[in-house]
Amino acid sequence: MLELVRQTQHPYRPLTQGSGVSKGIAVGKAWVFDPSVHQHAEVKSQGVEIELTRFRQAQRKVLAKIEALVQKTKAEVGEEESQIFEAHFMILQDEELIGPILFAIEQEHLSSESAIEKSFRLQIQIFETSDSDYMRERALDLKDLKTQLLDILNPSEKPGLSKLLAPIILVAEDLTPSQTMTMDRKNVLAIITEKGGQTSHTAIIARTLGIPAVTGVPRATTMFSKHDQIALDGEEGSLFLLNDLEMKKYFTDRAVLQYTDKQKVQLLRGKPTLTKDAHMISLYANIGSEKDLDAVEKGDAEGIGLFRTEFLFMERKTAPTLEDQLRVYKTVLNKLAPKEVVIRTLDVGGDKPIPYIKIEKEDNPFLGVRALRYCLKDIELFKTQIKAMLFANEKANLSIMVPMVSRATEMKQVKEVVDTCVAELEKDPRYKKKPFKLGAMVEIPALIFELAEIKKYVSFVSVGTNDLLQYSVAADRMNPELQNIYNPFNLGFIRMMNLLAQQAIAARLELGICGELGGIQEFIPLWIGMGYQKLSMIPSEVLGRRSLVSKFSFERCRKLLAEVLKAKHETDVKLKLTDFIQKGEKTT
Amino acid sequence: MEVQLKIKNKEGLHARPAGVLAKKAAEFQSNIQIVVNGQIKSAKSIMALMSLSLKHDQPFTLIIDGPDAQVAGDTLSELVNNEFKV
Repeated sequence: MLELVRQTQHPYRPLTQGSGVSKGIAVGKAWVFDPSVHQHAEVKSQGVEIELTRFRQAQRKVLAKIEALVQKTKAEVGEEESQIFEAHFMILQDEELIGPILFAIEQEHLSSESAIEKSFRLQIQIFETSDSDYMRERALDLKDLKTQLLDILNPSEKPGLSKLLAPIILVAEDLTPSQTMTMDRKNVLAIITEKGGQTSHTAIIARTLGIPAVTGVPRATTMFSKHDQIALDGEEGSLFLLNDLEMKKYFTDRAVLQYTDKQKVQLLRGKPTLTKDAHMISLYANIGSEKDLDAVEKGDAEGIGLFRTEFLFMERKTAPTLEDQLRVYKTVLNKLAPKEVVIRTLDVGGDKPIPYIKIEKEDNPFLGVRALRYCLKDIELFKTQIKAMLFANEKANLSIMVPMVSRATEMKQVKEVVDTCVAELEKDPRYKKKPFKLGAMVEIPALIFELAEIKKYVSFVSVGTNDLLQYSVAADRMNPELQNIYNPFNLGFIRMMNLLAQQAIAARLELGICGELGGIQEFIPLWIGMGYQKLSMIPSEVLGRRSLVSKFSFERCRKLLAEVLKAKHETDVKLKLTDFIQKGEKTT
Repeated sequence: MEVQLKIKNKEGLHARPAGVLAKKAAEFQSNIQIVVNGQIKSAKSIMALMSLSLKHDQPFTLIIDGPDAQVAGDTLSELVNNEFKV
């Protein structure tokens, strides 16, 4: 498969192709990284005591390095990626690995180096022969740890990745997580590896750092010699050997152009989101905790369209108090003010049990007592959350949003609960009432037909597209067998989204999308054409989407909608939407 | 005592959950072993746990022997059922 030379958009024949895992075009000198260390097999033991001390020292030093890496990765990449280093930390103290090393030093009188080689070899073998891809990949983590230990025992003179003398395109067989995290980033123009795929650590870290990368290139390390000038396209995964000046100029121009494109996008920072013909919409961000606020700022969101509050309730034995919640809500509301923050009330169900949330075991938790349905049964919990939000609303930028509403009467109940909360809070002299908005999520198809009624209680509605699609086609989105049914290009679903918009506009409700489809580029022109005014998405995507919106007109979005509504088949819908995006890009 | 459990989290007993489980198990005095398809390994070792490559929904048994066996059994079951969230 990988041998196949695929299509390239560039007017040159690629030397080879791999998988493009981090987009961007880079031009530079190839630099082949050779991680091999000295041969240690011949090293003789200097005596049990000395070897034990040497090993313990090396172990301590590597543990300290890993600990620093955990912090660095947490800060620069994210919590999830840092966990691999936490696992490294434990592995390097694990009895299964360390026990045999100590045994070999003490009983077999081996040197630290030989003992390390021996114990690691056995463990690496166990991982490499596993039937799970994931475990086989972890063999690389063990090699990483082994190399780090041996490097400390015998510091190598070879140039490492952490100090590069000039900007290069890094070519390696594979990179370990610690190599990727500690490499000299300002001098790494791009990364090419023989191994690895879309989800390898190298790919994830390269994407986060914005370094173009191509993985899965067979024989990459032997293909280039040290001073070869090469170019790569990290999106299509193609590699080019630059053997004439004209070719070099072409790729250098492309690399510079993308840089100015990035700059152009930055020029939209702080600006409203407008189509070519000045139709304005708002781009908001979805967040799951206050930790996402930095990303919101970077992405330049115009507000928070969905603040999920579940994290406050998870992983604890008792319900969070008003004060617990107040602190978090206040941080987010005040940080964003005067921008709007839509906080969603608790959205839990029987599928994810929480000890103090008493939901009976149900056959169908997704059709059971969940979200609002539960909150209306546990009024005290619901009131505490609403009061915490109201209390936190010092800058009048709060919107309360309720999930899983199936009928207008439920919103009537919610409105009464909210009114009671306000009345009770007004007895507290510390509470200053500030304006706020109340809204409902549209996730249950029947609600679309009660929007006129719901208008009596709420001022806005926001569509949870994932659940709306799942409930309207009665297909579990996690079920791989049903992927053809759980399909957002589904004609019925698209028409339903349009009807929903018409109903909401007729009822004069503010209308937005906070589900995943709100941020997917192919759908954005369609939602704009239907009349959705507020799209909420992953924080880091906002600025890029603003640039996208500026490339087409509202009029063309309306035409696209008309064509899509006439489509006879879902593949036709898909084609029209993807086509529109590609053409839109070209006309600029 | 013996506890029969199943892996609840989607990704299986990967590095992170294995680490969480081993760390928790190591807090107890009791000898804690994990049995999968006839293989017996120490549940206090992240390496041993990882090498079992337990997948989503796969059953396994914890054999716990020692003064704090009851507490250890309860705590570890809860951890497994909570998808290793602490």
